[in-house]
Amino acid sequence: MATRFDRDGVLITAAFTADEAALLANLVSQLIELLRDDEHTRAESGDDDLSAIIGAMGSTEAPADPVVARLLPEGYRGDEEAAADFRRFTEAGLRSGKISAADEVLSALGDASLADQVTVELTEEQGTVWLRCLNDLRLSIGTRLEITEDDEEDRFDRLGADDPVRWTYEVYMWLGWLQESLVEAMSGRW
Amino acid sequence: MPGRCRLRLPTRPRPSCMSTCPPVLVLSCPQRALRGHRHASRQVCGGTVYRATMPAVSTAPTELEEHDTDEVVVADVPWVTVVWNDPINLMSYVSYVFRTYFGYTKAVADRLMMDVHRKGKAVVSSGTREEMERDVEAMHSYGLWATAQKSGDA
Repeated sequence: MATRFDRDGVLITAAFTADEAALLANLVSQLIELLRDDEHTRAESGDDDLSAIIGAMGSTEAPADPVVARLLPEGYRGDEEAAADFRRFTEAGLRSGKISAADEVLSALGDASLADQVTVELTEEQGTVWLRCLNDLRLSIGTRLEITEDDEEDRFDRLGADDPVRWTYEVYMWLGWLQESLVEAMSGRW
Repeated sequence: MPGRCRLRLPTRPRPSCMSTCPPVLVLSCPQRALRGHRHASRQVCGGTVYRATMPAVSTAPTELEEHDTDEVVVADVPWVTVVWNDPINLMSYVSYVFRTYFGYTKAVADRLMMDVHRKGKAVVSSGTREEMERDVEAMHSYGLWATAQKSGDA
């Protein structure tokens, strides 16, 4: 069982069992793959000179996958043109920021198969990176689980113990617990 | 500290099954089969200059409430950043983002977070359009959903 994130002097630390670290690394890898895959698909969509140029500037349309659309949402409501322009100029940077945060988490976790336990020690700055990445994971899984209400525990509790959706929900709750402990550890200075 | 989450550890000893179970395919999506699908190219005029062609923002879903602007918004600035509620982001995290990014006190950050939670949205900053787009982009980098709009737009 993972220790929660806790402050240890200037550092924020947590220890994961090898299995937990492997699970987390697996999820983070999927997040990276999803963001890269989607980027690739959208870049490929340009098949003429004009769209090649537009593609190079950045896409203007919301991603088709609801998870990616939640990670890279619209910057305007009720104004499609402004939303498209905002996306064109910000989406690539946001996407690469999320990928690089995920890469950093992955690298801190290391190769979980080499140890019984993985301890991470984060500076304040690294803690922020982890927070963003854990949040992106929760947004991804929560969106995939179609969580739309604040408390949907009953819906998942009704599922059989071996139902993969229930298992996914439990992972989602675990990530929430982990993120909450990191927020608390990071909030010491307030 | 209010928290919407009643969080707990997974009840099953997880990852012990990682070696025998297929990976959790939480990030797979049927829609990914649609890769390659594309919408008609959006028509773009040559020489279009960002911002110069933007029409006035027409409508926002609901009217901004006057008291949303207390403490945060200077009255005569034309644009605001609105953060919208969602059922996934932790309340503690949303407050943390408001403190970290905007430098708000815990009291202000918590109040804005509760506005987001209870009223569905909150105005979290105000300024020029360019400044608001920077704030919106920053909120998106944290995973909060924010939009820019003209102050007072209904």
